[in-house]
Amino acid sequence: MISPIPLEGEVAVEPVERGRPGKSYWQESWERLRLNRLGIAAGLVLVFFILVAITSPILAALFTHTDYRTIDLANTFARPLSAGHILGTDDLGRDELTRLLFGAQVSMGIGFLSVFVALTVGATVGLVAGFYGGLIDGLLMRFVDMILAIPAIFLFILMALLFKPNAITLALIIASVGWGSIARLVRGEVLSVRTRDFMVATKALGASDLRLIGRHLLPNVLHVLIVYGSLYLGQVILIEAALDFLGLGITPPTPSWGNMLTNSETFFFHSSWLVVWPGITIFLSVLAANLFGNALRDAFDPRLR
Amino acid sequence: MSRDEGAGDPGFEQFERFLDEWSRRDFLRRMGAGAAWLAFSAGALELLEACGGGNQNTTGLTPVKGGKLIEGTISDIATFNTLNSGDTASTQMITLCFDGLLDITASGDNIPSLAQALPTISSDALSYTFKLKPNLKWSDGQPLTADDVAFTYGLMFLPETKDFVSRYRADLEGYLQSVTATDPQTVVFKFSKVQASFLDSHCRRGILPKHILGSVAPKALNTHDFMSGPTVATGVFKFVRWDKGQQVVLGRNDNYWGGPAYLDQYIFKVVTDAVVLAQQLKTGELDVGQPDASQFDNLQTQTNLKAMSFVNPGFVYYQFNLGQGTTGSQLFGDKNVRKALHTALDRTAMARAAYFGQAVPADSFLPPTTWAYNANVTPKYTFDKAKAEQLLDSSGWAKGSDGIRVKGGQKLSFEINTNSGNKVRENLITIMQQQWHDIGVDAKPRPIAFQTLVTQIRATHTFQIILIGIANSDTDPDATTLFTTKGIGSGGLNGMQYINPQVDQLMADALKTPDRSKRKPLYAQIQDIIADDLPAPILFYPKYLWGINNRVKNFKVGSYNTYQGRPWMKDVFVTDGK
Amino acid sequence: MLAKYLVRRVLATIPVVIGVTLITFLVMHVTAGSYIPGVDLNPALKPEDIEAIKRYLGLDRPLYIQYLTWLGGIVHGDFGRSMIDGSLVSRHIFDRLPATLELTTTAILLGVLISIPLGVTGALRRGSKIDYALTAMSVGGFAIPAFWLGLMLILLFSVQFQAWGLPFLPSGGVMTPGTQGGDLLDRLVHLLLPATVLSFVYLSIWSRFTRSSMLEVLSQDYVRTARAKGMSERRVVYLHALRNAVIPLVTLVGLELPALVSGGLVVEVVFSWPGIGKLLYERAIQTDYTTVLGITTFAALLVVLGNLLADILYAVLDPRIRYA
Repeated sequence: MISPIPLEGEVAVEPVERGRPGKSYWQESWERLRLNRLGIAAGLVLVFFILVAITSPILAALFTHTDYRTIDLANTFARPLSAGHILGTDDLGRDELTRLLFGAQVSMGIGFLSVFVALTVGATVGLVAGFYGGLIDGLLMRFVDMILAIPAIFLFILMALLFKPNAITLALIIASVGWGSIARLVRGEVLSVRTRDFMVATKALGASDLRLIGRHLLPNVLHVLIVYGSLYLGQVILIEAALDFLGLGITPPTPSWGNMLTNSETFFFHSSWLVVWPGITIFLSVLAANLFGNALRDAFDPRLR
Repeated sequence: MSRDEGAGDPGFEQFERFLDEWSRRDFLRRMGAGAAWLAFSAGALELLEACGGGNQNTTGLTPVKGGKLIEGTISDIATFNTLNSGDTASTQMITLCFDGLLDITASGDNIPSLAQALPTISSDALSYTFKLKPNLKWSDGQPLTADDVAFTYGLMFLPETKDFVSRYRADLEGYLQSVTATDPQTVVFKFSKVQASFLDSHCRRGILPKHILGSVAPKALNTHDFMSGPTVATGVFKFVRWDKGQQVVLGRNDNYWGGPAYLDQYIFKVVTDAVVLAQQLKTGELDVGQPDASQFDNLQTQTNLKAMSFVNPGFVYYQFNLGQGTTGSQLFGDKNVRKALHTALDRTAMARAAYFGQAVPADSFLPPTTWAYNANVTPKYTFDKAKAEQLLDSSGWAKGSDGIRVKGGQKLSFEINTNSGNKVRENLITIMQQQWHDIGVDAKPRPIAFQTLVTQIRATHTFQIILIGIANSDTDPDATTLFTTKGIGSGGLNGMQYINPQVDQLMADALKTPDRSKRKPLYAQIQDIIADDLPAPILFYPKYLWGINNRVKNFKVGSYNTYQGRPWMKDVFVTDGK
Repeated sequence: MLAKYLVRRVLATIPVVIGVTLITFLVMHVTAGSYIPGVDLNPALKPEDIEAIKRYLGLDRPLYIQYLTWLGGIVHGDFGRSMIDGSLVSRHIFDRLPATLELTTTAILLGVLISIPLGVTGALRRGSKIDYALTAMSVGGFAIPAFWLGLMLILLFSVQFQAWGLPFLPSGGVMTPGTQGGDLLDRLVHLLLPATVLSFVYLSIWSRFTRSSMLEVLSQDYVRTARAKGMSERRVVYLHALRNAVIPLVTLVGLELPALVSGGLVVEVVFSWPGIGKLLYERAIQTDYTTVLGITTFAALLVVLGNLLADILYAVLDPRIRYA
């Protein structure tokens, strides 16, 4: 579990000077993104996983005709493509595909919830700190320093012990550490935007703080959030899998990709597919999130290409 | 519960120790390695066979002197404190370095160790006299005398040593009056009341060296260096090194009373988990160890090692919450509902799926490894779905429109918990949900933290069903904590809150009866009552699995002489002497 | 000016230290409460014994007193005692620290040594198949769960290789059991797999980073000038461009220094590597809260200290930094 700092570094290394982004900025970015075929493909894969996660009960009803809990002790370790089981069955004879579908719900759900919370908190703190500066900035950033000083994995273990987690608490645990670097990043962006002419002018016109932050600062840091959100999604999926591996994540029988992978390690020698499938879904979703994040960054900041 | 004899029950801390141990090990066993520990075998018969199996190791070969033996473990030891170790790994290392007055055979019988013979017991059973073997020596050459014995036991019960934390204090304080060295070779234990479990529960504790620790304040002993790196030993081996998290290295004790061992070194190596352990047994990186059940079939096909399994003196069971006013009691208060649920479980299939066949369906809370086991316990339960449904029907639980049974507006719907991280148990409750679903019962499996589980059993009692396991690492069959009213509350394991005055009485009588032949019928009767009342149906006797490299000879593991003591260790040798 | 900056920087660290210790202390207190494993649930202890033990451990005192006492201990290098066996946490930490440092520094070195040539190659051959392959590798490497990669490598290089009768790598530990660890070759063999797995992620990030900063440098005026002056491409790349491209990488590598202590946790667990991470994990699942607290605090303080040193070093070395 490596902190995503370096990727953030790539984003932040070169703060690009630009004016107030108008429609044209987003349009231009979109044009650039559209031309990035790999990025678009990654985006589509991501959308695919999201759709699967949302519709998994329907998909299961339509295609696999079984529930993720349905056990068939007479048919354990069925090979892929055996009768009625496209991806085979696990050690309790449960349909692997069905479990992967529901696992998507858990893994992607945790991913998105965690990203959403971390972005919201991080952006708010970063905006407030950057906008007001001074004492508020000092206090908030020192707090961020503290959070970031404690090794993330240690904090995860501590908190996972504290709230024997379900999907939601697990997402919150991950987010509670992740917001720190986002806040730092956003604050940096805000500092570079704050002093620009249009901000000064708007302020002179008597706009309220809330309006200044919401209408003028936020749009200027939005692209950073989008890029970081995508990259962070991949991180969260990996972190969740690692916590499952340590026995501190989602507990069976609820399937998550991480615990499916972890639980099947034992059977690698005689039923390797049980290790392969969840491995592939984790790999693909993280890969897609990373590639899409990179593509977004390239689109927003063409110079860094 | 109060701290009367109930709290002092010897079975108690064994349960406790086991519970402690489980929580920790379970976590470690992420990759389903849980199965390993619970691994299993087929019954008393196979057990005997397995123990006999040790003989297969005993070839006509002349023992070879020298070499080292590497045993794999998935958890590091915690301490060398003989009087306060709570985990199996530590206990195993301690028994190799410290002998007690007695030792133990595969079937759980006491045999003399430092003592010349089993103690002489006075006619009122209130005084036990042990004679030590002559010329006993510590590994540093100092004589081992009755003073060392009195010193060690003193640490466990005397008021003036109160600052030394011992797990056994509360128990011993309940009945032990004095321990006196009457001459250098004789030590006398005196009791305030008869306690049938004393020999089994306390006479195998490692003796500590008075000449080294005698002058240390009891409080300082808790964290004394000796407890993490003992400088002298009485066992087959003496301590050499403990690289935390990696290995414990022991060396031969040339002053061992039974003569020096063949092995130069004994190494206890920490590996990632029981699956990796199995692989390392295959590759010969490890000589002996307990592999994961999922790997056992594969190990049996290996030619360079012998894979063996035998029934573990313990069981896995689930308990109904029968406490007054709980949801559990409304659902399961009727004995026939409990019988129906148990009858609906196909335990053969469960053992195959969850244990890879390495567990035996159980019918009594006393495992077949104990002398008190009642082979004819009645009733016995076998899988019979139709009978289960009929029992529920006749108890008034009729299927509702959604297929779930209802009675008086209440659905037969509940949660079943076990400790998270233990893959075998997580699988068991998942299977139980399915099999109960088939008879119209809605169970929701949910693994929870071990600590929470224990709190549920001992204090809050808000659960409906909990699945858990117990290892009677003790040889005494007493189960006061589990099935009597004394076991309800903070110290006990009667989370069911099962109350049966007849069981209370029989259990108390049995504890006051040192004579096994008179004691056994009492336990037979208790086993029948428990099987019929079914407050906590016993599911399986899991097996212990071992892989032993062919170069290792005389490694005679068995149900009782592997974890609590290894009297055969001196004879172990490696054929290549390396 | 510099001296004043240094003093201010050091002073600014104090609230962070207090904050960090307070956070870990509180999180731990909420988690554990005053629960003592092996004591609270030990039926062999009477209620008054438990009270006495708690008094002995100071758990009956107000929370802020407990915190201050504990903080006072840390100032003297005492990170508390284990709840399970009463042993000194600091001793555990120093027992385990060398193994962790051995693993993480090797991984970081490995990452740096491999990622720079990869990144440079990618930049020089921008758009080529090699570039795409390297990019794919680095992006892919970042998407593989480390524990999974570790287990797969064990299965391949330790288990299958042995089954095939090939020379195989040990599947865990820092040295062959029974040895003292003095054999350098033996240690390296044990280090190979875990260090590779751990360096994989660094490699992914740093090679990509080297590539982009190299590209950027190559487009700079002075490089163009050098080329225009007829300097050989080789000299341009290796003498001028590389040096400037690698400088930002140093900062990036510096950012990973906090991970020296904690970064290897999952890998340590997979490979039974007896380091700090594994220690924390083992103790956490044994509910040995005081030890976990001690280790976490120790690691966090190292990070704070590291940041402080880095800032001071920058200030001393780089005159452009404004002492604001």
